[in-house]
Amino acid sequence: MKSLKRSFGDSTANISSKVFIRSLKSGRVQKVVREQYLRKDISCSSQLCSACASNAAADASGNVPKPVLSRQPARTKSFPTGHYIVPDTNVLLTGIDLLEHSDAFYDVIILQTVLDELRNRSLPLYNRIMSLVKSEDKRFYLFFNEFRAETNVVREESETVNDRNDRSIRKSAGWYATHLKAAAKKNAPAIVVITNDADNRRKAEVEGIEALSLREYVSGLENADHLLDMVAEGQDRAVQGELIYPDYFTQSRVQTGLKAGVLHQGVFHVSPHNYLEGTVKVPAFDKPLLILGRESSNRSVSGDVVVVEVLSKDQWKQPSSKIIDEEAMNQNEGAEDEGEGSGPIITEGERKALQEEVKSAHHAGADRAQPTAKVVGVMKRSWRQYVGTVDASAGGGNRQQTVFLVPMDKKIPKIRMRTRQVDQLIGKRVVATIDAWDRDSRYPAGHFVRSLGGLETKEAETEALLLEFDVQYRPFPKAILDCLPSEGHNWTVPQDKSDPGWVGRKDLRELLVCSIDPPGCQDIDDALHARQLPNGNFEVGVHIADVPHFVRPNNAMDAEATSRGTTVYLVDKRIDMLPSLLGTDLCSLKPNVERYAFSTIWELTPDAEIVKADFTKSVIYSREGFSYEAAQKRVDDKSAQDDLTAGMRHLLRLSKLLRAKRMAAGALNLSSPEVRIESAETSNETGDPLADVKTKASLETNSLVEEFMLLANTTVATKIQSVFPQTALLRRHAEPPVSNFADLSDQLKRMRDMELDVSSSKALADSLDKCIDPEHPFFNTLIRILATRCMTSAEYFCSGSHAEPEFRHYGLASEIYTHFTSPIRRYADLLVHRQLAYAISYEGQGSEVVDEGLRNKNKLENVCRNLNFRHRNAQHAGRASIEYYVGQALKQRQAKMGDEGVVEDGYVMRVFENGAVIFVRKFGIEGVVRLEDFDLSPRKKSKKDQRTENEEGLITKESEFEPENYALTVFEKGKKDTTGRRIELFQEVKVRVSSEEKGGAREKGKRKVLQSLALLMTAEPTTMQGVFRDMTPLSISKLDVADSLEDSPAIAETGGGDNNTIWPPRKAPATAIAMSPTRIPASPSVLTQDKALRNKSHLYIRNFPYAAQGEDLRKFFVGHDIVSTSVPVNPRTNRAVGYHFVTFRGGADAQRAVDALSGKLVVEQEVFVQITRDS
Amino acid sequence: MPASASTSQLSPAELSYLHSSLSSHPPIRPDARLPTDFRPFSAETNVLPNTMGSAHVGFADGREAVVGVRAEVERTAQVAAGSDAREDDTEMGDTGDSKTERAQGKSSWISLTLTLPGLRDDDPGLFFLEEMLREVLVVPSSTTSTTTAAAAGSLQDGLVINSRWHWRLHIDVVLISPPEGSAAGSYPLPLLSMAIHLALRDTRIPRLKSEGEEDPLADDDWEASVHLYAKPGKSRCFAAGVPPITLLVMVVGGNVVFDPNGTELAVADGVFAVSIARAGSENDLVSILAVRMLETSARDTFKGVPRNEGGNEWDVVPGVWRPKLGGVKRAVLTKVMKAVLGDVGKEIVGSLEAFVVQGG
Repeated sequence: MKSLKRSFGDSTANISSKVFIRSLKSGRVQKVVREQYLRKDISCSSQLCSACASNAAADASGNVPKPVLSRQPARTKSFPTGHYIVPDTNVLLTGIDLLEHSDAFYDVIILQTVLDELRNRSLPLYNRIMSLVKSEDKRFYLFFNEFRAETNVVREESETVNDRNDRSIRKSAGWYATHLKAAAKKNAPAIVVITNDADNRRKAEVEGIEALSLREYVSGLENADHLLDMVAEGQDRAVQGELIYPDYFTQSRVQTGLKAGVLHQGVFHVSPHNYLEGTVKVPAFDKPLLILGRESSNRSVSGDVVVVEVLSKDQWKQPSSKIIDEEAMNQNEGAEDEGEGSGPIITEGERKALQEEVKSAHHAGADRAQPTAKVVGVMKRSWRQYVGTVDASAGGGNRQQTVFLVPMDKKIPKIRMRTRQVDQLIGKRVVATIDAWDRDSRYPAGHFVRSLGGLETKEAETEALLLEFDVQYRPFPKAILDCLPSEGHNWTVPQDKSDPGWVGRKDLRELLVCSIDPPGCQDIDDALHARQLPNGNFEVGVHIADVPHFVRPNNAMDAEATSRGTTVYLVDKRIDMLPSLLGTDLCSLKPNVERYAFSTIWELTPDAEIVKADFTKSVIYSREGFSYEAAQKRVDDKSAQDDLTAGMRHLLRLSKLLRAKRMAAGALNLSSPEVRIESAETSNETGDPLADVKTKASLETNSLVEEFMLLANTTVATKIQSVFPQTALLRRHAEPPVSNFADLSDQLKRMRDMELDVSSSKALADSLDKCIDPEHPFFNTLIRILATRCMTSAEYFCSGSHAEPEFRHYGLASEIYTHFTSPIRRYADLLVHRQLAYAISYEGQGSEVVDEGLRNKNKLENVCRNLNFRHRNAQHAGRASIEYYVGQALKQRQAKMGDEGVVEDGYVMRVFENGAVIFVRKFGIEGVVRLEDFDLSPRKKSKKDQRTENEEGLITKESEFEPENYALTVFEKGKKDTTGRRIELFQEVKVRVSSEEKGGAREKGKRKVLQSLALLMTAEPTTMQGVFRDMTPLSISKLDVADSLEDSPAIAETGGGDNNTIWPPRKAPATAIAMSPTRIPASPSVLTQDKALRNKSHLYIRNFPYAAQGEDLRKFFVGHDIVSTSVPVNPRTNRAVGYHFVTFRGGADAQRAVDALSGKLVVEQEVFVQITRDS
Repeated sequence: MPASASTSQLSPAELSYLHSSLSSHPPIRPDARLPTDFRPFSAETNVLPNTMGSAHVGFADGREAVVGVRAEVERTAQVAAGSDAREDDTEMGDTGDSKTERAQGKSSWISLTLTLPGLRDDDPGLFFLEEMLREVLVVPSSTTSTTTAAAAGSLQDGLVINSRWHWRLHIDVVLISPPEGSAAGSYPLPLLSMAIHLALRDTRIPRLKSEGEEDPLADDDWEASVHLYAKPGKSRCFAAGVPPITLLVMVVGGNVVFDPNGTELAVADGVFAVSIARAGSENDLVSILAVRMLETSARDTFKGVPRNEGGNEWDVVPGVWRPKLGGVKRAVLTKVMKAVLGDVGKEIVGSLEAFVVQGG
């Protein structure tokens, strides 16, 4: 009988096999056998070795890869001939930051065995290692040891996988050592295995292989102290002491529970107001489940994907109405540990019934106790690098000690880490990562990664912000810059029409096209034109920068843009999605230059009905680049009768019709008051930094651009959807579940007896219009802000992943929508351009390479997911940037003025048991005023006194909370009648906003805004004092109007929390060059100030009441030494035009006046005072 | 079904000669074996890498059998009554008291497919043979021997994972046979049984990481898998004891002949399939699980015609072949049992054990 057995023995030494078991999702269990073909031509990749270089295998395209490992690797005392490093999996898992460090860890051999294991353990780390392998500067080499005959290891009988892998590492290291010795004789570098496994080190010693633990190895390096901090903590530490947290369920138990529907999976979010309260939104229920307390959240960190079990009904609770800071709770955390206990054992049947209870409780509304749950497993950690500060309470010294890193993000717990450089770290922004969170440790353990720089330095804070929001801010590498046109800035549209660039392109240079953008805008991606046709209809064109002409599919630039997803706008910095050569020059539709464009041209009836729509690639010649204001002026200017102005007037008229139609269809007007930071050149050169913070007024021209962009987006969406029924890239805004509005509805009903009809967007829009409080004009806006937070966020999606009715954009009341109009700064638009080009059968330049992603649903869905993520992060980053700026501005102001902050109007947004959330309109921020910060003392008392009293703790404050009335009464202990102050929801209050350094570590460096409240609604004015704990700017510059309107509902993932309407101020001109975070230009306002003081003595005053006369103006400037005033009058209406001039003797006087008066309110209007530019 | 797949090619005179030589004391077998001698065979296990267990057995006559065993998890159909009671104690899963009502496996969880050359897959004979090989594997534990070790050893009971899941075993058997006519077709039962036995002993079931009532989740390490049947030196297993072996025994005259080849079967008075298993942990104790009488192929032969044609048709003329009609005397049956339970059974079990221990 001939044997059937396939021998894997020595006779056929070029085959090996690998056996493992695979559990399929269906529950099936498969045995899998993989055969491996062993080869001898896998290079060792050392530049010392000539043998490998000569017989190394070529890749698919016939290129033999160059040797990676250096001829002269780094030498240390113990390795005088240099050394190559072979890390094991554990070292990669815990020491990745070290490996990425630029000071050490060069010439590293990553073994295939190790990499495979790493991929199974952590995909993100795998990706980081792969990017190290790809980048040439760190000289990482991926050695396929399993495929090389000499280094392949067959698992022995009863050998564990770990042992086998360790043996494999030793074998490879041993082979390398002998191999290099043969190649380089005496100078052969040492091969150092780095492993934290003591057993492995012992075995290596026996086999004559150098093996060190990570700590040992790092200690032997030159800058050891610095690097040792980055060695991860507690690897071999056995769990000891009291077990604080319950163990997680086994994976199979979790799977069983998920399948049976008794466990639920979702993303863990921590409440911004209470660090002990979290929510998990699970698909099974409409509303998120509450997770209360440390024990229930069981070592999950905000953002983790967790599995939760619903707790029995007697443990259900109402969401906390308290504000709890981790910092404040530090001392008595034990109190939180009241145990969930083991609880009675619940049967399967009861558990199922419990799920039904959850559903009914969610329907019942806000009054009843909400279902709570506890975390029983973590499916995916989303631990990343966290930026924070080191707790200052730790002592100094150079010895190693354990300190807490307090992350900037309040939702992240403190991280325990060991360091030898406490002194250097205090007062710095520090990056650290979490390594592990054991059951016996209250806080996660992590290690130091690097220091960004001093607190409140622009560089450190900006980089911190970018890191926190995962914004890729590194300069574009050469590979990407190579994709740019070689002509650089000299590139022009070819004059010769036979040029391939003209194929498929219409010549629209004759059209009177203009662009309308925010002042100082450099990346102009849209331009418009309109003209009347002989038949009385109008031809309207929207011309969008033809970015895809320059960004071809699948090259390095395209890949980078895909991953960046969007341009991020910070107050003083712009992180571009595309290199600025494209964004600000070649693609930008600048005036008086010919540019490639993608045009959408409609024929509209005078009633703004669409007769037809055409799409074409084109060449345009923009006649004018307006700012919104300039455009408005031009349209209003009766003397301007040229064709361009006529076209703009047509546009304006049509846009109003379009808007009316949209509103009639139920589009939501959610525009909230917006704050814009006027930085750099546009900022006034006054002494008051706060004057830069502006609420934004909307002009008709804003709305003009907005309407046509919306129209273009909708028209394009319909077109691409018809050509790509499965893979069109669209944008939708899902209808929010009715239950999201339950709280707001209830509050409105109780407080103002108003109804909120949420049955449709139309009904909602109508009922929002009715929410008017005649005494408080802002009330309506406040309600709109709150309503916006109840909604889901708009998202990109691939048309195949939703049914057609789900395409609807709720906020815009549009059946279908996409993003087409800003390809310079949004990748989605770029993809839509490609789809549209394909849809109109464009066959010109650039169409040769078809983006496979356009037809691949899976790929597109991945792209969408990333875009949504980047988009959201960009918004958050922009908001955080404003927040920081406002804080800094307050600080500067305080330093300058020596006072305690500005008194502003505030509105109560939410009432807690021990504080309230107040929204400050002027700065578009909201913040928490806590019980102890309420100022109860009578007005006459000087502020200094109150503060000392508070600090000395003389006044003990108590409060009475009326949850059903959303009201809070604060009083001094025992003196309720005399000192009681009552605040309630939606109330208008006066708050003093100021910046204050706070002792606590959490907000170290984050400017505090201290506020005092004066209740306007009570008869007797009283003050309260509060600290703005978490400033969150509500919304900012609405520079791209179409976006902001469309994006206004683009917020709250869960309907609550800190998600706001934001568009970051884009096009901040100060930032055009600097991509490197270390080169943020110093604030130009400082530079220009001196000039202002020397030369200028005229003031320009805007937003002064129309009715005002010269007398009023003088009154306004009372106390200032004025030479003359001038009130320009409109000759036609004989009314003041709304701006005034005041002349001072000298710059210093003028400056003082500006400092004092800018932003002051006169009859509800905030007056704008600025030194004139040319006097 | 006749015990031989192919009809005998022998003439009545040859049959008569063969019969008389086998009936003599001691019987003279055509291949000169002793009555208790088995034909030599060669075997190897673990031949199919993608199966959970496999064996390849070849007889000297050129026939070979290849067996592959696969195991799959399968959802257990819930019985309405009593399932609640079972669910309630699921929390305690592996506590000791669940042993008392250890879940009963179903015999249908083990399926066996046989592929024989030249037979259609709906051939009744094929089903008969499949079932004969399968039924001894699934003998309920209550009817096996009384010792406690064997009581826990029923194969299908070992396949229970929890109240909702179980393993299903697929045993695929392929017989490879030389072209028809080159050798007298011998009944393949012993070959197949031997191959199945070895394959099952080679079979390993993935170790589960899940516990109690959880959905099964396997450890991805194949080395961690557990042998289906106990292997010496390994503690964990699914079924105690060893898989049964089915022997083919022939009775000729008063003689008991083991492992008859095709030629011998053509003259058998009676043919038995005797399934034996090791009783208890010692090799020297063998128990009989089943005895099945097969139809002898001697029945289908043509009778010889005596030279003097005058005699009565029913007269027995010595030396003239008459087809056998079956039927065995009780005393002969006892003799068969004794032989099986005696040295022959022990030797078989012992030698297979030796093969397995050596790690075929």
